[in-house]
Amino acid sequence: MFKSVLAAAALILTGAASAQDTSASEAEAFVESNAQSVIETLQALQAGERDLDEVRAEFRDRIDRLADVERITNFVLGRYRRTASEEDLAAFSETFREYAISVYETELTNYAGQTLSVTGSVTRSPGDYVVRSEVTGGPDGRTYDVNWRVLESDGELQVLDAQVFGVWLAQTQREQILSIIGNNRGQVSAATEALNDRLENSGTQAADAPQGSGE
Amino acid sequence: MILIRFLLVAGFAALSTACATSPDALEAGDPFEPVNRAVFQFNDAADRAILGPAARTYAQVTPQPAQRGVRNVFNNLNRPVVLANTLLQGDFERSSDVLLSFITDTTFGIGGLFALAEANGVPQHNEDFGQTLAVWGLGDGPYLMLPLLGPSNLRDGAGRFVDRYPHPFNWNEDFSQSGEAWALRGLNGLRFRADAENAFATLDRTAIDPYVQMRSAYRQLRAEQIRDRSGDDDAAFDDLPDFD
Repeated sequence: MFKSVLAAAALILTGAASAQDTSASEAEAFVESNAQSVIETLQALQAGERDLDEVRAEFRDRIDRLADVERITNFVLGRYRRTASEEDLAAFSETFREYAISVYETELTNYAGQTLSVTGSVTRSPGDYVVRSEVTGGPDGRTYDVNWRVLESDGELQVLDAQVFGVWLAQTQREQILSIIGNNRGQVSAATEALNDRLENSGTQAADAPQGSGE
Repeated sequence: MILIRFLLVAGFAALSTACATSPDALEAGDPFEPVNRAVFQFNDAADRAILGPAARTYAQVTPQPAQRGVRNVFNNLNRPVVLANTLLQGDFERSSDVLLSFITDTTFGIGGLFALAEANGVPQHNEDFGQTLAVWGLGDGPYLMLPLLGPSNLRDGAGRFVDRYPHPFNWNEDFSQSGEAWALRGLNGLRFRADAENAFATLDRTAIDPYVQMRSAYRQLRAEQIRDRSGDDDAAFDDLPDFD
């Protein structure tokens, strides 16, 4: 299940689409087209047509160009983003971005060959959609429901969260970050340190990436 | 008895740990966080030392069809529990699905070995007394990490205790306490852990704070399970947070 959560989550960081006066059907098409693109990349990876480094570079490029990581970062920081220093915020943003990318990179090989199809959507308010989809073709042969939180901002549609079997990924990350900061007297740097520990333990060094200005 | 003892211990521990609990934990409905974290660490150690390796061995040496059969049998054995709860919730449509599945799989499915009802399109349901209490309007109460059993809360922990009674293992008192019954419970635990291997592995690889990740996932999953009987799927999205 969590593999599918992460497979879905990979899509969060992979796309944004231009749109004016977006509608639910546009949100559905947005999810379907971006999902298809990711799946094709993963299928090529599985078939040996592309190597991991190439796929990794493509994902990073997409994130750099398209994803609103800043908005997700602000969300997971909750109220602490208002009290943290600019230096702490910069360091956290860089590290959180690296953490998110490393998670998706690590899990990449588990997602190849899966198929996602959009099954409908709900409009919560203008520009705020939940797109429903099904993911099939995993090794266990099961069908997983995946829901996407798609928000419009400045005429662009962006996926900011994904839910599989009732678990929203960004909400779960937010709870972890808030808990770490709360247990460390409100210090955002504690969360940055925890993310760096996670990165080091997973074998992905954040040192490859530009670092924040320190704590 | 183990569960009752734990709940009592947790209650007393709460008195001594409330002051040590952070405001964020209190806000998250986890006033026993220090105790819960200790239990989580115990569970994690037990899993790494015994349960995980045993489950992986089970998955490696048991052919897939046999694993599926074991899963089907235990799911079928749990259907009287599900039926009792759908009835207590006054949901007769789901009750008829569960009863039809139980009769079909027990007879034509050879004791539940084959999931014929599901294969023939009978909707499947999974209700427990924790969900029933929620449907009756009871809140979840403080979050609890139960020894070996994993994440729960006061309402669902009590529900687990009540759910023992409709289960066929407990219909006969002599059998309930027999070595065979405990061996079967052990097998059920083993196959449950084996089925959750991917989730455990991903937790290991991705969690920033594994304890909080599990708490968050449990909360969200239970909310979804409780909500699923309302029939209004879209209502699940009413309470989503803002990203601004």
